[in-house]
Amino acid sequence: MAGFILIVIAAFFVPGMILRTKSIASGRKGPGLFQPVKDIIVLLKKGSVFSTTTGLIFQIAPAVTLATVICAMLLLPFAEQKALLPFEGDFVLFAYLLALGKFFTIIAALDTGSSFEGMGASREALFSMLVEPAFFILLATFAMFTGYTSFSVIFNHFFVTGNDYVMIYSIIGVYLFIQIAMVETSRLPVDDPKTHLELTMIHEVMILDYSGFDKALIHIGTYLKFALYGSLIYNLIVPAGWNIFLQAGLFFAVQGFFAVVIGLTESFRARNKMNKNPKFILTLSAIAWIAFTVILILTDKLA
Amino acid sequence: MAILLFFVISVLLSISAVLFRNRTVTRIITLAFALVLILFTVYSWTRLNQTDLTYFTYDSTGVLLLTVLAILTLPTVYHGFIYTSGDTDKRYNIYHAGLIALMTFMAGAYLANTMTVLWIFVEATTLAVAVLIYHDRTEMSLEATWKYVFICSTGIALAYLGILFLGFIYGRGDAPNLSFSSFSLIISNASPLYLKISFIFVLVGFSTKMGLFPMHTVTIDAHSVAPPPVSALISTTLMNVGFLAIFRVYKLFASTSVLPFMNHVLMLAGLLSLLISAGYMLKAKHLKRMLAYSSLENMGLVAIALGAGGAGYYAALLLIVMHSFAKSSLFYQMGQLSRVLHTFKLDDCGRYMKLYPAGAMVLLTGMICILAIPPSGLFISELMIFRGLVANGQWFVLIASVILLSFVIYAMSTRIMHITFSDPRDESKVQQPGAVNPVETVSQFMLLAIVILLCFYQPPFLVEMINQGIAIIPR
Amino acid sequence: MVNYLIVLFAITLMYFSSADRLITYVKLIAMQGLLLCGIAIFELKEVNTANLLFIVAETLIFKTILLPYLLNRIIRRSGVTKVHRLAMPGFYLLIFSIFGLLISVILANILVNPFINTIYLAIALFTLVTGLLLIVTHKLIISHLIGFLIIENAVFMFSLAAGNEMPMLINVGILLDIFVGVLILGFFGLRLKPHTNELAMLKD
Repeated sequence: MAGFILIVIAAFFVPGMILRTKSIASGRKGPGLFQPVKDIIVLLKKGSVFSTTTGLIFQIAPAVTLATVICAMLLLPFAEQKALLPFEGDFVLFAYLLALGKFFTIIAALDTGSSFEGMGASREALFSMLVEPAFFILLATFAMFTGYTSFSVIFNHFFVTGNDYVMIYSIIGVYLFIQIAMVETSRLPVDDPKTHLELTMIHEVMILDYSGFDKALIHIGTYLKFALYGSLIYNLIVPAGWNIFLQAGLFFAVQGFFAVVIGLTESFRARNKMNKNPKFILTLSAIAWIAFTVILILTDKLA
Repeated sequence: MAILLFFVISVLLSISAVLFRNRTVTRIITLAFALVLILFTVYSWTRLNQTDLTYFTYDSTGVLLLTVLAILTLPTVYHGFIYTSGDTDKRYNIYHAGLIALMTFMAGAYLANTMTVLWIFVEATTLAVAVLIYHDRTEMSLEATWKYVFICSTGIALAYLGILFLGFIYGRGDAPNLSFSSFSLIISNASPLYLKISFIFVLVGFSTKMGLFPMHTVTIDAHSVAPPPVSALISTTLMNVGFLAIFRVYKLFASTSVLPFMNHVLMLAGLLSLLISAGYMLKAKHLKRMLAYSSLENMGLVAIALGAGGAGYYAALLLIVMHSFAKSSLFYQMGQLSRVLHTFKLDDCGRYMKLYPAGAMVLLTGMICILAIPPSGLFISELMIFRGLVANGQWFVLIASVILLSFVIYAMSTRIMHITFSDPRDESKVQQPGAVNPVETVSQFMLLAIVILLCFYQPPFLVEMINQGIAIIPR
Repeated sequence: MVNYLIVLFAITLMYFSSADRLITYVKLIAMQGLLLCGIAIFELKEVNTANLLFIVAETLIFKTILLPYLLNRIIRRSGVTKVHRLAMPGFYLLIFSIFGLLISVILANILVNPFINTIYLAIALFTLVTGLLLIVTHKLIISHLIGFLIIENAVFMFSLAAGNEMPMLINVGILLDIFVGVLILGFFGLRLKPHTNELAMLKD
């Protein structure tokens, strides 16, 4: 329960921190820390306008996206407490819940009948497909490393297995999760959230036609996703056995660090050329695969 | 001691060939080297099976191939003088220095008794050959030299991997000696998988030198571009170096359980080499390239002979020796052909019998010899190979190789008969024929005579040498 | 410690498949030289000091400084800075690379040997596969040269695996390195046209 609430609280300030970091890196003062929250409140009060070419899918997709993200949040642990709904192999459900949300966004984008949105949808589908092996191989590595298959149990045992290579896996895991988070939430260098040219958009163009309440739902889902991945990263950095209040403080520190990293990356990197994106994302899977191979050898699990 | 002396003298001669700007001095230095090499070969006959300088042994196969090299030295040098007589002084000197270096390194490779020393010398021959192939300084020769050096280096790196796998079978604390004799003591308790992998790496790696199937393409290119006397040397004695390397590893592993595997691999490589040479020779339009494919075909036959076993071992060594003589005389003749007809392209050559009868006779006799038509000595060895195949019951290999050989015979004989007797296909390119002194063909006839003689009478010392070399292989 | 270096080495190999500019290749070769030097220092504890010093110096001077410098000069002289567009796209190369790692891990487990660390075998085989892949799928001569340098690194790593018992093997492997560096890069790299497509004159 505590984990769930902490993620929600973190979702309040992480997007603001990202925006603030980008502004300060560009030399401006930038908007306030809670500006995105205020934007959402404004949006929630407005009504929605639906195009006549859209159907039912378009209207229910934002709610489905938000619902999947909240359900995924139920699977993550915090400190030594288990998640709200843990079970064996729940990381598979985690990945596919998020994929379900993305799937609904994609078909809603196709529902609008706009060719820009279709183009963005196809790109988004490709990139999600390419980053999925990275996530699974990484989780498989952790599962082999600790010997368990549930998120809660893996993270509880991550630092206590007595293995010498915990540091490597912590670092590799943090690095890969940050990259995976940036691909899944459509940030640079895969997708530029600030671009206003539809031909260069990937995620933004899929939600181009939403307005008012639905738009607010989608933004809430995205912000919760940030906090979700931040929580995953937190679990890899901090051992589960420490004092609970210290952990809460560290949680917000890690989320802040995550937000600053994303902000700095966005400020100092340009978006990849579109045909280089598949290669970039596949590299993540390749690095995850190397990590997996090395752990197989180091723990003598082969032969 | 003697081998150290030989190396030191050769290096000094090679360096001094470059230093002096005088052609006559270079000629004297080269002839002096030829004399030193022949003396060294005679010396090694008297010291059979003894070890010199810990890394070299005068074992029978090595000395046999060294003798072949020594016999070919004088004709190569002689034809080289004639071929390079039109070059600048600097190129002349570099050519001869490279030639001396090449022959020295080949001699070292023949006599090495350690895997790593053999490997070092084979690598050194690549360096020396690069200098020689690039002699003409044309774009085609640059391309051939680049490809040769690059692929040979890759092959040598792979062969080194094979040697490393051999080295892995030693445990900690064993004597770190990589000589063949010390390997043969412990080879029986090596894992067969390691031996198989090691053999495959060594075969692929040294196939660049021997001109066998996996990496034969560079030798084809190199032989067709190099100056004809150099081609004669590298198409025969350098391929013998590659063969010797593979043969030594084969002998080493023959007493273990991987012998059937090695035979299968060798036969496969040999058959594929035959297939490729037959296919490409049928469409060859360049005379030296045709001869290069003929070398590929003969090396394929040698591999099949090794794989067949039994009488095949004797046949392989006999074939190697006779092929060296026959092919080199053909390549020397190519040098003269280029001076008479000024081209190697098949379409522009013709009427050779009228223009230069002595050379045409060499060409015809050489063709008979290399195609294993009786009275050629190669016929005897091919007969032994086929007998070995029949004895093993390997009918598919026998039938396939006979058919492919008939393609090769057809391709080569039509081409050579055409340029000897018919008019050129494309009269427009024919230039004024040059004149060549028929005396120059004497060395070529002598080499061919040796081949024909070996068909009828194999001198006992030759038989003895070959049998000593193959004595330890189980039949 | 050695295992960390070997993992970094494997990551540089994977990065070869996704790099775009030739300068990146050169930097990766230099980094591999440095990593090999580190691995040699940590692994070869039983070799006598003079030999070890020679190996370390050679790795540092040749693989890390001299060869990348020569490669840099060749790249600048030939004017080609990006990997040729006719080469296989990086995406497919990366997939082949991942399969290569899979195959080399399987092979390393089949070839398990009590005297050699399995991770050496696996990563050395992976290096060999990457080098061969680079040679086969790229069309520029400079890419072929870099592929050959990677194969040499594979040979060096194999010889390190057995290096404690037989330092002679490592020395001979180094000879190969020097031979390549001096002859191939120094002479040929500067005289040939950059594209292998144009080396097509010798054919039937």
